[in-house]
This record gives sequence, C-alpha cells and structure tokens, in this order.
Amino acid sequence: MANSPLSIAMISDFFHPNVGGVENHIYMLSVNLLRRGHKVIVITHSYPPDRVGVRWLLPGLKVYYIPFTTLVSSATLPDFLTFLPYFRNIILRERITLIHAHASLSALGHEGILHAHLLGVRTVFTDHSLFGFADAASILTNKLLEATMRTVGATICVSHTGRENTVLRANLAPEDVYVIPNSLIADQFLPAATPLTSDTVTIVVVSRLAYRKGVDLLVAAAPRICAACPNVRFVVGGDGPKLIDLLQMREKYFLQDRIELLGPVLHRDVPKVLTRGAIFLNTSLTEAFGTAILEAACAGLYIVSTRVGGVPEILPEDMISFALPTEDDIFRAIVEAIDIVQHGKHDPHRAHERIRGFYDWKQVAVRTEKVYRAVMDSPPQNLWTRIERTMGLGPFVGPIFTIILAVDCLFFMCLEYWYPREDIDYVDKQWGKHRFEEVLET
Amino acid sequence: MRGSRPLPDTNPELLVLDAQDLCREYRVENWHLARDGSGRVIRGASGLTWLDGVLVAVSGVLWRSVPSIQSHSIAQAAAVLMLILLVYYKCTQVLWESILVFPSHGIQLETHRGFPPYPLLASRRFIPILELQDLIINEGLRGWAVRYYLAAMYQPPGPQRLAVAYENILPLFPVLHEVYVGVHAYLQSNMGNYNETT
Repeated sequence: MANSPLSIAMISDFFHPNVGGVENHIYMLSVNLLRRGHKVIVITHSYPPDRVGVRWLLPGLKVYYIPFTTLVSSATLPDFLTFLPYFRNIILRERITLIHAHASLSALGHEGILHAHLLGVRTVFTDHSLFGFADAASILTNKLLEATMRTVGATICVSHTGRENTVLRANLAPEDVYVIPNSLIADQFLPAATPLTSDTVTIVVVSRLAYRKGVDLLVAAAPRICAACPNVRFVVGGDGPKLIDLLQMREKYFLQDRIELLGPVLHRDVPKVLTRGAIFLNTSLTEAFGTAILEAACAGLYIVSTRVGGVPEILPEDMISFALPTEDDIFRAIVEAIDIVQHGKHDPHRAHERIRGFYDWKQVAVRTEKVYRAVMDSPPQNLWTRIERTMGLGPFVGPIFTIILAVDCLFFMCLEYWYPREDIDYVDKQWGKHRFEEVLET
Repeated sequence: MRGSRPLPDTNPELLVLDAQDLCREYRVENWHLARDGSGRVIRGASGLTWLDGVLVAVSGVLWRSVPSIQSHSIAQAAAVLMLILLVYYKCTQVLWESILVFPSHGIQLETHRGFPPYPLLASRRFIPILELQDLIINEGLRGWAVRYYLAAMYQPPGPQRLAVAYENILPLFPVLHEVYVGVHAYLQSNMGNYNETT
C-alpha cells in the first residue's frame, strides 16, 4: 500500500498555454511525478477560440480544458456549482485518488477541494504567492482561502515566509503546513562560455514591468548609478504598464546608449539575455520565492535584490547583496556588487555548480510525494466535522459556506441519479511510463 | 453474408457482418445491456409502446370532448401538427449505425433510421481510400461529460476533416476499441492499393 502509484489531478486556473511561475511549477512537478510512476492529469479552464477538451503534453500528461470564461489574467469566477458536473465525470472516469490544487487566486482549485469529499478523494493545496491583508481583493481572497483550508488535507508553501503569510491569512496551525521550495532546470541556464570583458559591467533586469516588481525603484536608481559609475550599462527585458516610466527616465537623463530596452522576452530567450550581464537586479516590492533570481544566479550572475518576502531564503549570502526597498539602499547595494564583480570575487561557473546542487525538480517531486502519502494515510474528515468546521468560519461566512456545502451535496445527489456511474466512459487504457518507452523504441 | 458478435457477453449490440471479398460491416445496434450486471435490455429506439396507446387515446378523447378544440381551427391545426411531429419522431429513430469497410475502395459511415424494427431511411457517407488518412479514437467534451469517439481523419479537396462514426449512438470504449482493432486489421490484411500511415 505504501508504494502503490497514486492517481493525481492537478487543478488550477493557471496552466499552459499561459506562461508563468505557477504554470511551470505544475508542469515540472507533474512530469517528475509521472517519471516516478504515478498517474497525473491536469484540469484547467479553456482558452478561446478552440483550446477546449482534452489535449496531451509530452511526456504523457493529459490536460482537460473545461469551458469556463476567464475574468482577469486567466482567473475564473468562483461559480461553485457549475464545476461539479465536469469535475465528477473527470475524477470518476480517470479513477483519481488525490487532488492537488494550486494558487490562491484560482477558483477552479478551491472548487476542486470543496467538491472532492463527495467522491472520496483526498486533497492537497499549494500556495504560490504572498498576499496583503488590507485591500478589498485580499480580504475576499483570504476569506475564500480560509474556507477552503478548513477542509483540505495538507497545505504546501514555497518558502518559509510564504508559510507565515498563508498561516496568518487562513488561520491555520503552522505545524500543519509544509514548505517545499520551487526549483529550476539548471541545464537551461548555463553561464556564458566566454567570460565578459571586464571594462564594462552590464546589469541585467528581466521582469514584468509592473508596480509590484518595483520598477519605480529602478527608475530612481538607474540614473544615479550611471552618473556615479561611468562603465556600467543596463539591459532591461520585459514589458508591462511601467515601460513608459523607463522610457521617460531614459529620455530625461540622455541615457540611450547606457540603458538598452529589449521589450518582451520569450522564456526560451531569457538565458541568452542573462548571459549578457554580470549582475542581475531585482527590485520587487514583494516576492514569494523569486524563481527569476534563481535562474539568474544559475546563469552565473551576481544578484542584487530587495530583501522582501522569500528572497533571503533562496541563495547563500555570498551570491547576493540585499537592499531595503529604498532608492538609496539600492544604490549602495549596486555599488557594492559592481565592486565585487570588478575585482573578480564572483565566479560564475562555481555559482552555477552550487545552484545545480541545491535545486532539483526530482527532489521537489520526492518531497511532494511524501506529503501525498501522509495525506492518503490520514483519516478523512466525515461530513459532520466538515459542517462544524465550516460553521466555525464566522457569524456570516460560516452559514453561507455551509449552505453552499449543503446545496453542493444535493446537486451531487441529483447528478448521481441523472448521470449514473455505469454510463461514464471510464479510462482503462492509458499512457504510462512503460508504454511511452515502448513507443519511443519502435 | 456471415454475422458474428465479437463481444457477446458485455456488448452484444456490436455485430460484424462479412460479405466475402467485398466488404465488412461493423454494425452497432441501438440498444445495450444494463450496465449494472442485471442483463436487462435497454432499448434506445422503441416501437409501439403503452405510452403511445395512451397518448392516442387521450388525444382522441380531447378531440371529441373539449369544445375549444372543436371550435377553433388554430387549436385543431396545433393538435394535428403535434400528431405529425409524434409520428415523425417515432419513424426517424436510429435503429443501427455502421462502418462498412471496402478494402482498396474506402470506408462508409451509415446511419439507419426507421420505426423499430423496420428501417425506413438511411444516410451514408463514403470516404475514398485515397482521402482516408487514419482511423482514431479520441476523447472530447460532450455536455457535462467526456466521451470517447471513433473518427476517420480524411483530406478532401480542402482542409483536413474528421468524420465521427456512430455519431448518434456513441457507444462506450470497449465497443470502439473492438471496431478500431478490427478495421485496422482488416484493412492491413487486404492491402491491395491501401498504404496505411501510422
């Protein structure tokens, strides 16, 4: 029983063809779990015009695109009951035993966890981002998260700071939350084969140019650095609403030959951009893990970053210089980094080898599997405990979510009558590791 | 014309009819055994049933007794229209669907409709062997469920298209798998001009 393969469904609004950290995490984790012999499918929402239905990703990952309309940045509305019919059909036909939902902003993930008990399926939730507590969106999302966390089997966060944040937002017991950091594929981020010329120091910035990525700090610090250090150049890749601020700053200080703006950079071109520089600058105002920083460090760059969120946990002290999120401190940190790089105190190839040893997707899959086994071995919550815990959410939210739970159960009962289980098209022949190897050999 | 049931215990609605050297027909009839193991027959198309008798009797009674129907011609026309629709529905029920395989000529997808057990109408779709690229089993969303379907990929003059077999009955996977294996094997064993792309 301890070593039998699991059937896992990853549920999230955020999956390919969208590109991002959560999407990449889900894909890499699924692939490594497939390699370990489990069965993994992904359930996500559809992309117009025609990405609806069942698709396959190499190496044998099945993706269900369910037709729901998206609201903003690929997240759907929490319409609790409309997902249940699709969910029931998919989970039954694939004979799924465990659900892994990703991202607090993903309504599909929350709904998957809420419906899972009706089918006797266990649940795990991974939270990928940090949230505030004061603005309207955060208050609502935090309450939704708290409701889901009352009934989930286990929670995983990507950093210890993330764990603190999730525990506070969702009122959880900290000892019930696991921390499994993200990872990266070190082979994709190799340092430059030929060393860079030591007369100019290039600082690379690659990020979405939005407010929360701290572009204002970059706009304030870049002219000061260019004035103080005449041999420094900036290469900025990425696009977003704050690009206009960078362009205006460049015009105002006549830095067209010192600051190069690349525009949007595809993920597969990022390693080429990174190897152009010796220093990577990250000025985010909030960051749960900082995969971009890790990728830059793997490519051999020295890192300058704001000390926020989970960033202090990801790299050893001698590979990164921290700054407070103020213009003066960033200036100080960059000057310090330029000094380190110019005196040759940072070895890109040694840095790459160290990162290769620290981070590995296979390890993430092994640790996640341990969480899965712990959940599968623990006793499930019965319906009465579930109702009691949901009622304990608060004087208003408690009854609301309990009513949703009750209506959910009734709807499920109707579905069991109108769409009997024997009429479902079960999946009995499927791609497995062995079948895939067979086909590749012929 | 020899007939056999390749899955007699679980899916006896699948028939394979062989006309020697000419074609082989994989026919799926519109009924199935109850899937809970009881062996009861669940029919998809019904002949004369008690419900039809009741409907005819009720409409006869209404025609004679309800004054509003006797006086207004619109009500009469509506009643006659509903009767015609009922007859149309009863006479166009799907009786069976099949795939006919003509080696070195092509395949033909057929739907036979009628009043059980008498076939009245038939619609056929022929795909020549040179246009036919592959026969596949794919999964797709249908309403709230995900179903397997058997489709022929072909390239007429124009873009590539999919023709779904057993479009109305949509049998479950074991039947589709049996037909898939059978059609592929039959086409390969009667090679002739047929070049299969795998």
